[in-house]
Amino acid sequence: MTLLAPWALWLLGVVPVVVALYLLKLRRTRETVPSLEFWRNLAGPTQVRSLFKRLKRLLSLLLWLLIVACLLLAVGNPIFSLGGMKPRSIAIVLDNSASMQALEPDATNADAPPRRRLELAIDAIRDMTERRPVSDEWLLIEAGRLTRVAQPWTRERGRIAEAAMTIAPFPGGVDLESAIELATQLLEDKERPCILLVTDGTNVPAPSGESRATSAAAPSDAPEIIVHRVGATSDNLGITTIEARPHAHELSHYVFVRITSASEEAIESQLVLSLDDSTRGVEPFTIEPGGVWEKTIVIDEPLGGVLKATIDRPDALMTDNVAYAILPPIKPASILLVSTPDQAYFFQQALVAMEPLVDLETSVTISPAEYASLGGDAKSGFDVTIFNGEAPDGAMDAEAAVFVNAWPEGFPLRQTGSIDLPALSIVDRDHPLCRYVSLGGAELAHARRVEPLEPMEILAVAGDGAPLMLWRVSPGQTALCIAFSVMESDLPFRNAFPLILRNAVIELAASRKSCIKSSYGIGERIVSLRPVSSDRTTIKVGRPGATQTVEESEVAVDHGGFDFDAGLRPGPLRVELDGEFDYTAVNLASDAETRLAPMKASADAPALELTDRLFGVVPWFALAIAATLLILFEWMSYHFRWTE
Amino acid sequence: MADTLFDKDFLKRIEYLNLIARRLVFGRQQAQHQSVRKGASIEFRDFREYSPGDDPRTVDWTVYARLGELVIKLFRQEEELDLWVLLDRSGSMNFGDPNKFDHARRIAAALAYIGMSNMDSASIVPFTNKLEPGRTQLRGRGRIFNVFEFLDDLKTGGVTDPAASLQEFVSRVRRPGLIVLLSDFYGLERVRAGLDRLRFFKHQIYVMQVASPWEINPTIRGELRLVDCETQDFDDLTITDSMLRRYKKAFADFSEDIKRYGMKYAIGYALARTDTPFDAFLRTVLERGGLVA
Repeated sequence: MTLLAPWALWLLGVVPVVVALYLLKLRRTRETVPSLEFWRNLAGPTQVRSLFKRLKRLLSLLLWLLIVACLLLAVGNPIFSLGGMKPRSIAIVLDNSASMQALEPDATNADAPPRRRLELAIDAIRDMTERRPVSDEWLLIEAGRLTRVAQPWTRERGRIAEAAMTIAPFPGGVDLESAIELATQLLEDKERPCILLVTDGTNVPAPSGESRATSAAAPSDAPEIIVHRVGATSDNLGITTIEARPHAHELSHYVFVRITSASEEAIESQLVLSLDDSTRGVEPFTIEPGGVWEKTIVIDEPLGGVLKATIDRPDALMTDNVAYAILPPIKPASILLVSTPDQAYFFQQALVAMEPLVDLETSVTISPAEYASLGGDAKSGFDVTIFNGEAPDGAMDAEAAVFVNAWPEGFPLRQTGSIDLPALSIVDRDHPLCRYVSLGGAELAHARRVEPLEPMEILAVAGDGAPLMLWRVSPGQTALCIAFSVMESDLPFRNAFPLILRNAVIELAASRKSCIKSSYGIGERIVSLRPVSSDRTTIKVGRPGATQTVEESEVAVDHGGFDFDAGLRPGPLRVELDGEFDYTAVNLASDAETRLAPMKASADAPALELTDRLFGVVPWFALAIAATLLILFEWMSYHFRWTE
Repeated sequence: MADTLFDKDFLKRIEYLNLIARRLVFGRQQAQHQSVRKGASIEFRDFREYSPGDDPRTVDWTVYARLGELVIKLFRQEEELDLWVLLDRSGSMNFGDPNKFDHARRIAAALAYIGMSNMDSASIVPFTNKLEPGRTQLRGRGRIFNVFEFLDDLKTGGVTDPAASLQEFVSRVRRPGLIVLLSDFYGLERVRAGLDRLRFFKHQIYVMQVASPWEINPTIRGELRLVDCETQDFDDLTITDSMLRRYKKAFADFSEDIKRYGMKYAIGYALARTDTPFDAFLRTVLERGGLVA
């Protein structure tokens, strides 16, 4: 036993005072009564001056000495542990990720309501702070939506628990590594530094976790990292991936769903799919312990909508049981073909063959000279612009473009020579633009030898590896660049080109206008993908419902862009910009959060030294309670004359 | 004569009491008391079966003629009425403020005065665990100063044993009289034994329980060493509120026990609180009746 406040031993001086008071108490006042027998009869059959009575009277003194001892030790704040417990500077990093919102059933009481891991973590923090020396210095860092100091350095342990209580649950993923980094910075120059990571272990970064704590390579002055795990349940299913892709030529959407199980048992359940709050299908599934279930589901709905996928099974973490995907409306693309009339026919025929992907009524063929004279609004009215053989001024403004054998000035591609009779071959057959395309044996008469000035996807190359078809996605423009004349190709390529063009139109029409990504994580920063006109100061953001937009708010536009946090729960978001609407979906969709099963602690993992408890509470509190009970007992013994 | 115990004021007060006593109790009796004993008088009292040795003159021959059985007639005996004031002078009587023994002595003196004025004789006999010499067979008011002197010289001391004292009394005084017993009656069982003996000898009994306000409602509390004023025995006790409550109830029950015992056996009872003036107390007793049957 160690006294953390040894000055309390000075209170031993109280003991003689207690004894003196006891002796004074024994020196009784004489009172003459007419009949002592009468009083004795009232007091009961006590034997005057008997040995037993003397012992009983001594009990009163012993009780008071015991009370003084208990109070003295309570003030002394004793610690019961093996070895000396020295004061430390402890930075607590509290994991506030989605998995910490998982409900944990009470193992000891089946009728008790389940508690969130975050609540258990806060209880653990309170317990550990109470069971450490009062001279410890504490800091609390919340690893949540943002890494922040929830309570600066303090020696008042109660403040740590109070600060932990104020932390709002966050249902998204967190960055524990940056929280540990912050804790490490704040622990510089501190005595016996220690980082106490309170987590369920699902998110612990490997280099910072136990391995670092036990690593011999860790610098000697680096703070020790101690992982305190909370939670035990693994009963959880979660939608970890949901992606929707429109298939314009089929007028349908392909939705890819991946469900991950953290459970140790095989689970049968079903996935309910609803579009704009109207149920569209139910997918039964069976998932093995710790396994994954994946499926691509076809939704035949050209008009699109908000797709909601729900796992029809309650489990520990409900946030990942729901996920959303935006199904964009499928509409015919409006094409602007910029070509000299004698070269346009081949492209026009290819576009006609694409119907219903292409809206022939609004598609137009103009010459490069006419294009140069078009206004900005007229140019932006088309979904895709195809430049054949020439790239006039303003071609770089086209957001979705196909450059054939020419590219505008400013396009990051430099011609370094020419290639004669190149044989064309596909590099990435899985690329959306190369779908259904085979160029085996296709040859060209001539091609330009080009060198990309920035990273681009190379779709096809010549026999010597020189890039001939390139795919560039940049914030302002998505473009397919073909470094040769289509008209100077052989028949196989001429047969394949309409298919390449069709794939390009589908991709370009789909990707052109959105200013945000199609999905975000909960709490993730949403940053504009393309510039916003400088005269705008705000954009509207809201949650679309089945019939109307709810929870609409305004987001400030700064330096031609915007950024804001995604919501704190799964759901669709709508961004209104320049009279057009862009939709995105906010989901937890995190494999790490869904896999709730806590990481197993190794036997030699370091643990925070804590004092043992007395009767389930910290020693000083137990002693204070004992003193109170003894005072009560002594009072009762006085009141009921047990010591007489 | 002590100035404080039996002063002129005391004399005036007992004289006034005497007048009240005459009016209330002795006005019609003229010092004659109808004895409970049966004897020779002209007033018929009862019949009794004849037994050998009875005076044949008392045989009711009329009854014999009708029933053929010998019965004798019994007549009420007329005799003198003697007042005996038995005064407890044990150590326990020397207690309280006003002092119980002083109060008892005043009552005894007043009773003796009334007895000497209105009855055949009055006696004052102190007792502890035995009967002690007193002033007996006093007649005439002029002897009252003798009583004062005797009572004034009387001191408390010793332990009480009413049973032994009263046993001794009945062995000496066979003729039934009016006996007023002045005591605090601690040791009730022993008192009962003594009273039973008095009853057996046909004495008319009146008990006066002398108690100080402290005894009825004590104000002590805390860790105390209680010392018995009779025996000087002591005990260390913790007097708490609950214990005080129990004491008050016990004392009330104690007084009630004496009273109930008296009611059962036609024994008069009165609580003589020392904070009540003796004359007011005696006036109440006289007005209530029962002191003299």
